Amino acid sequence: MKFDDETLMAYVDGELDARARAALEAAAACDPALAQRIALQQRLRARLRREFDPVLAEPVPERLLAAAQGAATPEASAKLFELRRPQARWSWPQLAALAASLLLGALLGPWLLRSPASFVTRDGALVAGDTLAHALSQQLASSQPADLRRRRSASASARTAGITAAPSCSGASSPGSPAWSAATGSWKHSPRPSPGPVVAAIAPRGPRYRPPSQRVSMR
Amino acid sequence: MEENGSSERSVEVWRTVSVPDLRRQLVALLPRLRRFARALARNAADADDLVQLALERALARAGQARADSDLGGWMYGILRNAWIDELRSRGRRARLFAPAEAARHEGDDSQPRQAELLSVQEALARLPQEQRIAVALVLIEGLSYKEAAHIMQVPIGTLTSRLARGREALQKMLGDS
Repeated sequence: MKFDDETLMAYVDGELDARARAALEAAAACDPALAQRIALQQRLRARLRREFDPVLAEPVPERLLAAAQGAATPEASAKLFELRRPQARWSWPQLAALAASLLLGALLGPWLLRSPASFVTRDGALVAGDTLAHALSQQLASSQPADLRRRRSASASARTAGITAAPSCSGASSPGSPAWSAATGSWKHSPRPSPGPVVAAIAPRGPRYRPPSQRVSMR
Repeated sequence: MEENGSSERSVEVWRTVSVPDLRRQLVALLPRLRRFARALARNAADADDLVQLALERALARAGQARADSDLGGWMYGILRNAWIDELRSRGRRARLFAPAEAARHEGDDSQPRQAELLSVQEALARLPQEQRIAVALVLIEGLSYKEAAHIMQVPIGTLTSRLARGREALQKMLGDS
């Protein structure tokens, strides 16, 4: 006689009637494989009971006893609400801190930006800004004798001039700007500015200007 | 579930349990309700919150508790519904459906290695909700198929198939198959 898994489960769950139970037990007595399948189902049941039965022996929390007695506990509902809420939410203190820092930034930001920069870029060079330049040339010297102040002031402007006179990148590359060479098929750096762009604008054809000497008929 | 019950027994005259009686019986049921909730929610604090919610609901509907009916089954049903509501109100977030996916994935593994075996609670938590509830009611709480099917509001055939699938998945996850 064959017994399917559902029958074995019903057996261990106590759902078989007396006759079916007796038939299964008789078959299992002389069929080790069947007995093993029954044991497998019994093990799972026993394992689950072992895991959860200790809860029965735990002392019941006071709040549950109170709830069973009908004692209204507002904090319980609040806690349940907490449980139900997605965890990624901001708490009120966090939101308040966020708002406060935003407000602080909004108030302080313009004030901080309004104060003149210490350094400014002039012709590609970094020089002291107006306030710093004034401080460097006037404030530190203000407590010193007048002639010393004059001398320092003069040397300060000399230094500033030196910085400003340092070569900037903007003009340096213009004489040697690359031009396309049709002869070599590559970009070349011409040694001096050529009238190229102007002529190129009126050149009859070709993507780039070629000197007349190099011009070949394009067919 | 209450609608189901009332349609079946609408012609009977109900003798409702008195509120003091109900409270006494609820206190007596607390250990079993806590065990059931623990099997559903895993986390002990969440489980006790669930029991508390079920108690509050039960007392709010004290008029529906019949003196001659099984109060345990009624309470299991309220707790189970509270748990389903709780899961719904948590929304359809990944946490809800990932365990089911994981269980299906686990089920595909023919031979989990010893090191990967899960604890009973972890394995149970990975079962789809309806299988977990069926396993908890029958295998842990020891209810009959009829009682469990009534609590879950499904035919007995549905209950037994959920039980069978839940058992099979648990045995695979626990390395006992």
